[in-house]
Amino acid sequence: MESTSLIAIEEICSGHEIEHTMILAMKEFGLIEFVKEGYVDSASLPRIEKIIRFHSELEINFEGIEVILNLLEKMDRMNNELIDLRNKLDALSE
Amino acid sequence: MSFVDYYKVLGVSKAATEKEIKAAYRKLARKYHPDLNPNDKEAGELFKQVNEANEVLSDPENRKKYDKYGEHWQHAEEFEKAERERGARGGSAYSGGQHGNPYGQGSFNEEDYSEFFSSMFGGGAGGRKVRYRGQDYNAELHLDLTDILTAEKRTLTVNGKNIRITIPAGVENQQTIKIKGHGGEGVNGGPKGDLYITFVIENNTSFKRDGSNLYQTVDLDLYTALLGGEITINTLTGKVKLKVKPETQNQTKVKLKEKGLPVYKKDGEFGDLFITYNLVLPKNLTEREKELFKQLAEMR
Repeated sequence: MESTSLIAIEEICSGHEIEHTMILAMKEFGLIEFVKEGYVDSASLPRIEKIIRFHSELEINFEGIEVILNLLEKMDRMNNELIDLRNKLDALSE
Repeated sequence: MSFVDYYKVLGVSKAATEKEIKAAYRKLARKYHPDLNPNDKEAGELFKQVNEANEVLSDPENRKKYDKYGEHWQHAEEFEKAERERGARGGSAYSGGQHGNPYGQGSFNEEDYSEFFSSMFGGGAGGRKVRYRGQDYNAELHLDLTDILTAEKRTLTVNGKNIRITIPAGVENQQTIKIKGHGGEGVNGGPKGDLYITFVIENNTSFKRDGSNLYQTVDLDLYTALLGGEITINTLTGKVKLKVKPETQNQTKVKLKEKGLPVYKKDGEFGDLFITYNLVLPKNLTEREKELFKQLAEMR
C-alpha cells in the first residue's frame, strides 16, 4: 500500500516566514493541492518552495509562476528526451 | 582580485535612480535565477554577480562608498583615514603612513560574493538583509553498466562533506538527480542550495542499451540455424540456454523477456534482452563437404 507523508501548512509558513494566506492563495490559484484540509503531500514541498522563491525573490505573480512551472516541466521532459536520443545515437554509432 | 563594475553588471548608468536599479536587478534576477536555470553553472555565476551588484547599488551608503572610490577601492580605507586625520590636524595623512593591504585582516569568506565585494563591504552588505538560496552544486558520478543492476548505496565527498546516496537501479546515462539541501549555504539565512548529481554510465559490456532494453548480436552456425538446436548465451545476470528453431534465418531477432536492465524507479520490473542471430557460414570446406553441398543444391 502506498503511503503519503503529510506536512502541515503552518510548518511551511513558519519555516519560510510567510503568511498562511499565501499558501491558501496558491491553492486557490490551482498551483498546489491539499491532501486534506491544512496539509500537503511532502512530495510537493520542492514545488511549494520554488513557488515561494519565485514570488518573494523575483516578485512574480501567480499567473507568471504557473506559466514558468509549466515551461520548466516541459523543458525537463524535453531534456530527458534529448538524453534518451543521445544515448540511442551513441549506441548506434558504437 | 579585480575591480567589478556593478553598474555594468546591472546594465545601468552611473546616474541610474534607485527605481532603475531595482528594475534592472529584477529583470536580470528573473533571467539568471537558479530555479529557472537548473544545471546551468554560467547562469548561477551571473546570478551571484547580479545579486552582489544589487546589494551594493540598492543601498545608498554602500553605493556612495562604491561611487566615491570606484576602481581605487583598494585604497578606500587609506583615503578615509587620510581624510579623518586631515580633519583632525590639517596635516598629510601619508607622512610615514603604512601602505600595506588595508583589507588583509578581513574575516569575510562568503562564497556567494566576489573577493572585491567582501573586501569592500564585508561579505554581506550591512543593513539590507535579503535572504537568498544557496548555490546549487553539480557533480558527476561515473558508473559501469553492471553497477546499476541493483540499487546501491555509495558515499560521495562533495565540497569536503560526505553524503550517502542511493543510486537507483536502472538509472539512465546522463540522468541527473537532485539531492535537496546539500548545496551551498544560503545567504543571510536563506535556504541551502541543492546538489545535482549527473550519472555517467560507461558501458563495460558487449550489450547495446536502449533505456531498460539490451541488444546483442550472437553468431549462429549454419547447421544449428538449419536444423535447430540449443545455444548458450550470456546475459547480464549469467548464462542462459536458448532454443533455436529449425530453419532460423539470418538476422532473426528473439526476445528474452525480463533479461534486460531494471526499469528505473519501478521495483521488480525489468527490460528485455533482444538477440539478433548472425548466421556464420562454414569456411575451408573439404572436397567431401563441397560434394555434399552440391548434392543438396541439386535437390532444391
